[in-house]
Amino acid sequence: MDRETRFPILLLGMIVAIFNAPLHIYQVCAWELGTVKAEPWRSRARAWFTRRRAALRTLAIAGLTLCLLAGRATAGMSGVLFDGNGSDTASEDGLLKDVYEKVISEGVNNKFQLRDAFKLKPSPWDGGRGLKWNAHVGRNTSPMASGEDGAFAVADHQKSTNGFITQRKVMARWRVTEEALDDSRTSEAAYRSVYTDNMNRLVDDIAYRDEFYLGTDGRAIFCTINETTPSNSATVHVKNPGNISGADFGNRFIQKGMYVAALNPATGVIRTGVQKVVDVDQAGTYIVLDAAPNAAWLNGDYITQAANAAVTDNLDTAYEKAPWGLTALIDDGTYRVNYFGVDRTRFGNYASYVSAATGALSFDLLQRISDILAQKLSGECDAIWCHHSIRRLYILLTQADRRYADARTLMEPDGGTAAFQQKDLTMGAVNVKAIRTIGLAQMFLVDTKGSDMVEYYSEKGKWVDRDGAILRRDGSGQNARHAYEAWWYRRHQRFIRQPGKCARLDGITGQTLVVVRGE
Amino acid sequence: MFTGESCTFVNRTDRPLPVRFDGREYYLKPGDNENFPRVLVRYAMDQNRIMGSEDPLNPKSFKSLCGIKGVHDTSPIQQNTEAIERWDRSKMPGRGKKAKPIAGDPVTAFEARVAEEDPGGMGAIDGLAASMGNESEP
Repeated sequence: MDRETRFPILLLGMIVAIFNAPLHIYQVCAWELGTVKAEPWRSRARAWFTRRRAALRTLAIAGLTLCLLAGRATAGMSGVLFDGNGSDTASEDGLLKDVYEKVISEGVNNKFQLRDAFKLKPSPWDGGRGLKWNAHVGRNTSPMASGEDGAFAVADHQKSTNGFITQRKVMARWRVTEEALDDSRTSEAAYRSVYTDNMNRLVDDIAYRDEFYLGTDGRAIFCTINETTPSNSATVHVKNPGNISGADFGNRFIQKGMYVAALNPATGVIRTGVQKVVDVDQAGTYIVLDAAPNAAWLNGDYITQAANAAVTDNLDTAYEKAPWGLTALIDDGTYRVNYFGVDRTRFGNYASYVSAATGALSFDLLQRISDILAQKLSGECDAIWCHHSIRRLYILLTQADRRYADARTLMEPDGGTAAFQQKDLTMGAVNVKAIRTIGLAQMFLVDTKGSDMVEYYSEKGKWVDRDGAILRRDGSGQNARHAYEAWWYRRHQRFIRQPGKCARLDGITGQTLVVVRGE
Repeated sequence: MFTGESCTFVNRTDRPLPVRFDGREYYLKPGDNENFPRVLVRYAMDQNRIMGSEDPLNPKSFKSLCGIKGVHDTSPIQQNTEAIERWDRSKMPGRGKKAKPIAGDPVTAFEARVAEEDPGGMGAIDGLAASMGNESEP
């Protein structure tokens, strides 16, 4: 029996079954206090059917037989049984359910390459005003060859100076209503609990911001204004991402939704007016604010993060409150002259070797820098960090030396290197690691073992709970809301005891920068 | 604010030269710059080398687009746009002398536009004067 023939039989069978079904209807009484047989007209209808059941059954069987015969004939002629609407997904849409994917697709980049590469030795923080450190900055110069009964050099002494390390703090917070917590508790109600989702992911968000701090100088400057009259428009052109010299991708560390302030670079004092970022240029050259900034904003001003729209004081901005990162730690004074109390212009061993305005990259240059590190403080470069665009230059340098050597590679030439799988290339067996948040035209040559990298923690990171709760009621009195806030903080500072064992190349040219926002 | 010695520092070119020191970017106006803080001299000269002028065997031997009047060569000069690296490879021994450049990426339209703009603002030499204590702005 074909499909078209089977259908009317099933349809008629269903009609017969419906007619034979009892029609007991019950009314559920108020407050669930028992049930009552209701709708007497239905009883009358049932009685009418009962009386005529035999006759109806005979009629139904006869009709079914006729339909079968007619159906076969119709199917045989046209292939169509009925012209009426059949079931399809459109007509049966009311029956269909949405089926929910069990996995949440991760739409943000939670790989923190610099954090993974830049491993510092954790060190406890004992409180007080801060950590005083001693820097041995010079020798006793008295050793001298002398003759019998001859004078020898005047007495000298070891030279030391003191520095001072304080802590920097990073905070984050989240606000939630009671309803959002209640309505997302079960997997039937939400993909994930609002509580779990926000508490876990906020830690990732902090790591994302820390990646920016880790690559820059601790001033928390996103960029500088690159426009003669920024107050002309809500679109403000920017350059020097992370306050690292460079015309490209000025907005790379700015996110939509954050508040930003402009600072006078000469004094570090906040300019009038805080604006919210409503958009960022995908080509990296400008940010769009919620309104044109105040006329006090000038070309060359630092752009930093502000806590909210009402900020008027530097205290409420991120400026000079971030933990120090690479351009402060591995530096010669270009970005940080005062190295935790030691003047780098006076004590060169606390300055790293920096090749300014490098230009083209070459193997010869890398070798010379390695030699300089060894001569200066016996530094041994064991890690090289740079942006992906600089690594591509490095690949270019090796291109001429790569050949298809044997029959197999001639038949199946592989045009790539290990970098294609984002594995590290090497320079003299030292890994050249590509890191997306590092300065764009820079390369760091680091002695990770010898330079003694330390991270002082007074708090490695936790939810504020000193008053007994992580979720705190939001407001009181007239401002009370049925909502909670959670605050998270981390208090630490990074320090390299011998930054002179590391080096940095600035102003590398020749690379192709592909502006990609890794948010 | 800078303290200590100062000098007359000359920008040998006809365009402002950027100098980055202690995180701040200054611009050195063309010609003489009176009362220039001596502590910045090393950074200014280092960051504004004449490309292709550095002795590969001695990083301290190079020519700069700026210099102290009466000490360095301060005659007018322009950047050597032909050289792609700091080194003068003709002074290099061995195979390094014969190294051939690999074509990189040309200057983008954006970079060209930025270079044309007058830096001005607080980053310019006026800004330098401000940080030296001659601030005109409240």
